[in-house]
Amino acid sequence: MVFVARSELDLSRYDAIVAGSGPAGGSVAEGLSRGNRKVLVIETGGSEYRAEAQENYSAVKGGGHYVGSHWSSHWIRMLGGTSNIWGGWCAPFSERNFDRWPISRSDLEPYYLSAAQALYRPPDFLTYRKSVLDQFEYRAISDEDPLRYSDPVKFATFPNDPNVHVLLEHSVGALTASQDGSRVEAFELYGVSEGNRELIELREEQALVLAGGAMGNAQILLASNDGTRASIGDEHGQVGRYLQEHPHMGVGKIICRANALIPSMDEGFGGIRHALFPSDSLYHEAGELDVCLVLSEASIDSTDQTERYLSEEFGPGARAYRVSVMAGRAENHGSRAEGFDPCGWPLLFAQCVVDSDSLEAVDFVMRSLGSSLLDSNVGRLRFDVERVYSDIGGGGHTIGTTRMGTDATSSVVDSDCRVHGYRNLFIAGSSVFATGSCVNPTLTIVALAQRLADYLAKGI
Amino acid sequence: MDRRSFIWGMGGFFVGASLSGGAAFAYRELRRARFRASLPPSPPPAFESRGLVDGWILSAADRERIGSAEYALQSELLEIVDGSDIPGRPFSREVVKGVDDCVEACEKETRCTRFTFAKATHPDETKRNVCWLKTGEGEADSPRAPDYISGWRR
Ligand SMILES: Cc1cc2nc3c(=O)[nH]c(=O)nc-3n(C[C@H](O)[C@H](O)[C@H](O)COP(=O)(O)OP(=O)(O)OC[C@H]3O[C@@H](n4cnc5c(N)ncnc54)[C@H](O)[C@@H]3O)c2cc1C
Repeated sequence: MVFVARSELDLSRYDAIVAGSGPAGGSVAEGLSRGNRKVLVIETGGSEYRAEAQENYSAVKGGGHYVGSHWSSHWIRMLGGTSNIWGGWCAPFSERNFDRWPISRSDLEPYYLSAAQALYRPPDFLTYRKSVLDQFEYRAISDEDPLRYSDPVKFATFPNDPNVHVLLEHSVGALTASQDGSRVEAFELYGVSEGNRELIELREEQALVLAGGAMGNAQILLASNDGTRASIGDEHGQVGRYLQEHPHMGVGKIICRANALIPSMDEGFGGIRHALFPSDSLYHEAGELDVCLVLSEASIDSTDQTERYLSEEFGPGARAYRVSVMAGRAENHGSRAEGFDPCGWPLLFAQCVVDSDSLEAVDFVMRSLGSSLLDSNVGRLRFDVERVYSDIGGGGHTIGTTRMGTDATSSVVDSDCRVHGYRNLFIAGSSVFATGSCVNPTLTIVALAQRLADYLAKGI
Repeated sequence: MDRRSFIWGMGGFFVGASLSGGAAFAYRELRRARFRASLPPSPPPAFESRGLVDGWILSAADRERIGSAEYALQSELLEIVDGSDIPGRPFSREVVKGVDDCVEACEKETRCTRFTFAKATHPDETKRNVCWLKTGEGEADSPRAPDYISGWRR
């Protein structure tokens, strides 16, 4: 990648312009470069973190379960975006997680493979599954060093890649639609340090890709409003409507026989976390809200009467695991924007509520796990039911603000990640997820971004 | 705030958990109100028959054996009851590693005629593993309180 200054820039020479340099924007740029296309990445932040840019441009107001700072602290304004602080957990969505998407897991399969490679993961975790208990399946979550998309060395083909130019400290602002509404013909380029604005016209064949994070993508669309008609992409009020987060909670403890729940994994998997998932039939019974039960090693509390008993019952070598959950969804129930930030863009307002269906799904799956352990006499589960209802957190999984679908009245982008009706406007990132599964989103973000890059490289 | 301290401050995977505690509390109240309004009076039977002891999903045989002397805490001086919060006047409040430490502390302190220990699973985080040494006599019976273990001098 080559950093460029505004003064030396001829914006018309690029095949695509990408707003945002996180995992989504970085992967689109990398893919386009591989297809020998020229890309300009425009990034609000600089090469270092600056609190001022963060405060000015990533402010979000919050209602419902998550305070505003929850969203802003998961939307980092600097080169590489939120990948500067992400945890590196990676897992693919399973087939059933695509039930309400216009694409399926098999459409993404090759890209999951290349995404795992791009994130420096051995690929075995993508397909490994093992039934370890009636109604439950073991899967591994890859937990390798998190790739920072600001890291010039690790970020694969980027160093000195002449096809990828990066313009820092500039933002993509309001978009302007053509007269017939079939394409975006211009966008506002905002210089962060000077506070200056320019209108940049797009050539007929140039593609514009929004990759500003799930909040950022909604913000750019909602800002694209000239006062005479609905914002671009929001003709049916869909932008920001389906914002989701994965409710996280620590919900219990398992004491079980050694080697009963966790298969011995060979080293080829790299660093992993252990997780149990409900079988398809349990998933349907739970209302088709997926629940991921992450097991982490814990110790047996020998001062606790019950634990003392269980450790003898399932010993020698009985194991203990803490169970924490990433589950279902928390969904937006409120308005999408309220007021303006310092450069005049809509300040986002998220009223994200963990719905009772999700809580009941966790409750149901946990009790089913308790029953399965009991019936198979492999171990026992302590279910801290209170915590399901009182200790809800989140994972920084900001999802669904411009969701994918076939129908413009109930979604924002089509199966090619193109904004319905606008032939040169595309979106990369978890904002296009039609539903959120229950696992960490970034692997799927990278896979979808690579797929989009392939599509654009062929089509431009 | 520089980038380093920022990243330090943010680095936890469960970072959201600490941010949304207040909202979760409000929600719990809401949820309780809803529960009261909308749930039938009897709990769903399928799981209830399994029995929850302090959240552990156990069989009847498990429960019987856990209650037996083999696994119970032993003290020469104190009578110990699981699932009880005995009344009394606390004169000391300490966080301890486990109930054994609380029993030992009470045995050693002549003023201590009874103690209460809040289990590590207590829903209120500020109470987890707290050991109260107490004075007081009389009625040792107390309503069932599954998050506590109490004891009194024989
Ligand atoms: C503490 C934490 C832990 C996490 N752990 C994990 C994990 O273990 N596993 C996992 O899968 N995910 C994890 N995540 C989530 C992960 O970080 C995100 O899914 C991922 O970074 C999203 O990538 P993105 O490129 O879509 O958005 P971002 O990484 O947010 O990047 C968006 C970029 O666009 C820029 N931008 C925004 N608007 C504009 C605009 N108008 N013009 C120009 N630039 C713009 C921003 O400045 C930013 O640089 C975690 C997140 C946090 C905060």
